[in-house]
Amino acid sequence: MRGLLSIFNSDIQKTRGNWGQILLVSLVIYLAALMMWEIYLDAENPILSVQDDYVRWAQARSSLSQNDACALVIVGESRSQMAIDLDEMEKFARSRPVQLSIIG
Amino acid sequence: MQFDSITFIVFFISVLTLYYVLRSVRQQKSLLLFASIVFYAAWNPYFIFLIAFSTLLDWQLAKKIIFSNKQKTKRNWLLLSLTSNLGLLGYFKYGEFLLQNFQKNLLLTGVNYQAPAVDIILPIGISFYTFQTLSYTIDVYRGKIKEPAPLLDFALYVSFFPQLVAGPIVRSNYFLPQCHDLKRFDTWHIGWGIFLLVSGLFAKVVLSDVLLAPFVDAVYQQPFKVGTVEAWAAVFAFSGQVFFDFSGYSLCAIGAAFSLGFSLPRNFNSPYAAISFSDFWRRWHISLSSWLRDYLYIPLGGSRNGELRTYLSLSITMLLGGLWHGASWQFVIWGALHGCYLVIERLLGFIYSNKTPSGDLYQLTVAVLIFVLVSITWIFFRAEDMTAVSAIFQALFHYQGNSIIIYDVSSKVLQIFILISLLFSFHWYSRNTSFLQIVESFPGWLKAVCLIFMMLGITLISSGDERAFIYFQF
Repeated sequence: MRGLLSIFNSDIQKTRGNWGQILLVSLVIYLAALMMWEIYLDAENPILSVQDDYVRWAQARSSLSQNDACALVIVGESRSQMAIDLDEMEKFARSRPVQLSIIG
Repeated sequence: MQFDSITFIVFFISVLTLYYVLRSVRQQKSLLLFASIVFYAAWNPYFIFLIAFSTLLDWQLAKKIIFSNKQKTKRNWLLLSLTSNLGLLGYFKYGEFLLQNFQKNLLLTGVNYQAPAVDIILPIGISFYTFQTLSYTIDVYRGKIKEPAPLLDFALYVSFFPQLVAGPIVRSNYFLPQCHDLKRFDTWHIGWGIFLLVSGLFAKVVLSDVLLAPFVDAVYQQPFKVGTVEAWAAVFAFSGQVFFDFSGYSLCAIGAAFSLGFSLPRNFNSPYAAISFSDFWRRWHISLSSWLRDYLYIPLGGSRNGELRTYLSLSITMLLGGLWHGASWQFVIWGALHGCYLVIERLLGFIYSNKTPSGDLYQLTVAVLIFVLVSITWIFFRAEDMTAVSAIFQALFHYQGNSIIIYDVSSKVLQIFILISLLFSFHWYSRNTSFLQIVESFPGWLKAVCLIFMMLGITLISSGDERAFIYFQF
């Protein structure tokens, strides 16, 4: 067999025995890491859903109640949701505007 | 069936398990052929008949060429193979394009002809397997292959699922000898195969689809609203995207084939570290550029018939190479530009032969220049139409301030430049070696760490979008 083998022929024996262990160890650690990630997410208890608009709106609204009376709040439809860059606006406003023109 | 889908993972594990249970070469090859049919049929079952037709025709014609005594008869059989293969490719790939241009030209002469809608579906992978079957009949005609291949081996050569839809384009004298032996279960093959498969998926799913593609899409969807810095970032980002996408596919194909005991040729060799355009084409999509060299450039005369003829051969080869990528004038322009670069490079080499410095710094500067020119030329490859092309060029060379597009491109610019610098540096570092040799030098624990990191990246960072490989459309 040419191609790949020709690249390895000098060390072919040295590496031949390693791959079984490498695959096994990698698979075990990978599955363990995934499991830990799942457990962590479960402990955080987030509401996971494809449609997260309600949660995002609620989070934005709750941050508003903690703000001072001068908070800049953006309400409206998709035009104000899509066309306003909060980072840019933050440079001119005193604090970060609260974006409420999101579905929810 | 995409490599980066759960369906493929289930399919591949099933094939791999069954494959190593079988105890005869014939059974193993039959299984691979069946699996390849299923793999292709998952996209469109009807086009299986097209591959079968192409396979049977070229297998028969090759036998006729081998067993004919007269040169003229051999040539006629070859002509039939060329006509039928290129005819099918022409119809499916260029039919609509030719019709549209015919209509436009008639309109210029005042005739308003409306052709009936044909709606030709492009069979996926047709450009790749057509080139494979053609190389077989041409090699037989040239006398490089003296014995006809068994039908099962030839059918597997044409339809082998790891490389069926987007290459690498394998030569028959490379693949067919590998069909003779029984493949036994071997952790070395499986290990390397899976490592390469995962590396390819990581390049595609994480580096291309998550880190680069959204930026490129955002800029190219609204090219009139983009600022100069963002336009340059998008141009380089697409260089990275197309490389990770296509080399990722090639790594997946090589890895999947290697797990099954088959070796496929290398398709990329640090292309962005090229120090000339001819060097670039020796490093980018190697299986296509070497095919074009052997079956088009050399038959056209190559560099044997004087400088002018060489320039002509180079230009025609690159023009057709561009057109191979798709039925669009943009691909023709892309190919023509690369043809021009090669001609100019050859002219400069002719004038300044042995007068160019050879230090590392000089080579690095040239490599950066080549990379920038290649990246700019990719604009024709990526943009939707010529209006978008001119908008991007406008943004690149006439300073425009901030972008005003919805996707937050400005904050991603630094990330893009860092990623592309890393890609270029890696290519420069590995220009005289290979990805495989670098991984080979790692100790076992580091290979495992890389594998775990890439598998977690694919699982956790994946955008979840089913973004087709760019080269599937060719």
